[in-house]
Amino acid sequence: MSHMKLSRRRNDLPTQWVCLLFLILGFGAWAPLAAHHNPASHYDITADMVTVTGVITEFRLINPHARIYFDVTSEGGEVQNWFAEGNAAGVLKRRGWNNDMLKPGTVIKISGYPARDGSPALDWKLIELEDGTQLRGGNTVGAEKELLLDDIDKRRGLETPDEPVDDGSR
Amino acid sequence: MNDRKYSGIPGLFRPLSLRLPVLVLIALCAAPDPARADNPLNLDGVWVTVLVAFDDPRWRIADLVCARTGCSVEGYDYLQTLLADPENAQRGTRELVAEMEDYQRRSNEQLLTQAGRQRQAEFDVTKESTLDCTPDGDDLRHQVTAPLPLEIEQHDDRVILRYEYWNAERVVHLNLESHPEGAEPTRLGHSIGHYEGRTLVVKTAHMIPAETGIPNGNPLMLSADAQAVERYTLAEDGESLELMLEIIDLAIFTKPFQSHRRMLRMSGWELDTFDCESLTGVY
Repeated sequence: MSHMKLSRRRNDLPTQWVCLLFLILGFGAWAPLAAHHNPASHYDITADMVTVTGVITEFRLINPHARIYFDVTSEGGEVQNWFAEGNAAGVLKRRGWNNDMLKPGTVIKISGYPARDGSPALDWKLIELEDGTQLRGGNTVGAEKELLLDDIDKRRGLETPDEPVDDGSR
Repeated sequence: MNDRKYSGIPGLFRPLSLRLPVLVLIALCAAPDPARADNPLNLDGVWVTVLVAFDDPRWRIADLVCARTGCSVEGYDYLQTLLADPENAQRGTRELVAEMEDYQRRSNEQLLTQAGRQRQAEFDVTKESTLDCTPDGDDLRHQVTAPLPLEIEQHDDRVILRYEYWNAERVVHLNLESHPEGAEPTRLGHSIGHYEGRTLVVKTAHMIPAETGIPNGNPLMLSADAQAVERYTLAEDGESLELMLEIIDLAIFTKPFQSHRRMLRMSGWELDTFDCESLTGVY
């Protein structure tokens, strides 16, 4: 536990400076906002899911939500930088994820809810690698729930419509 | 009596004159810590949710269902009843969950006051977007129902609730009977607590108004007067902890709004550091 306490102490000073800066700049009105990062504020979780194929440029196993940066090349050869957001690193690590799972250069087919503002970003639900491996690790309640219910049927000894993805990250 | 003739025999089996001090010492060591003597509940340790320990056989099916979406207390109990009915053994989980959600929806129809319905209609999720990485925690409801582990540390006069989520920490004051008047609101508020049998009751006030979701309903902002009551009930076997969270906000709710979570004790687990990176500005 000692490393955690050290980490907090390390964070104390910057936090105080940031608060002071807000006060000086008159941004105190921001204070009532919560730290929570609601995916629905950025992604339309009521829309149809989008699927794109791209090449990973960076994977960051970080809180509050893991991120994958990847490039998608259009038929015309134009490269667009995409970004996808998943579950918290704290959750994913305990489900066996690590920083080396999605290396730069890896080709992925990724599905998720589109960004509200039309930018090339996704709240990911499912990632498929070239060898057919499927990974979950998404954050959105609705997307994960369907997969979770398949697992629960299995645990109850009931047949599921499709073989559930089993990378352990619910 | 010649002690030398007992020199090869363990102390406990020596004559009474020699055994007595040893027995007294053992009795002293076995006695409960005076600080805990009047508190039969041992909540110390790390507690986890379904989302970080899905495969643990100690979960109930209802725990698995409610892990991702959250359930009201009524919804959780209703689902438990459905699952316990042998006639439902072959019904798919989706079907049972749909029935439970319909029940929850009807239960929640009368939950909101007129002002609460108005706030719900006015809530704009796109304006809610914010994120920082300070260790002040999230709003109380998100904090206590977050998927990451919780560590409880009991003391004579307080209970410390330490969360991996946002590296947050709360102090529940057991030696106060009321909240300090005029306290500055914080995200996690000011908490006082007491024990009721196998339950730790935590009452919290002075929270910064925050968004709260309602099962099967749109989110809305709570008012500055909102209070929370958490009831952590330890199972008889000491292996699970049932949390019932009530949000009391007379301006918005016609009755306390309740949520349910069940957690499992995890021996040997420790909290990890919540390495956080703000996304603000990326969008």
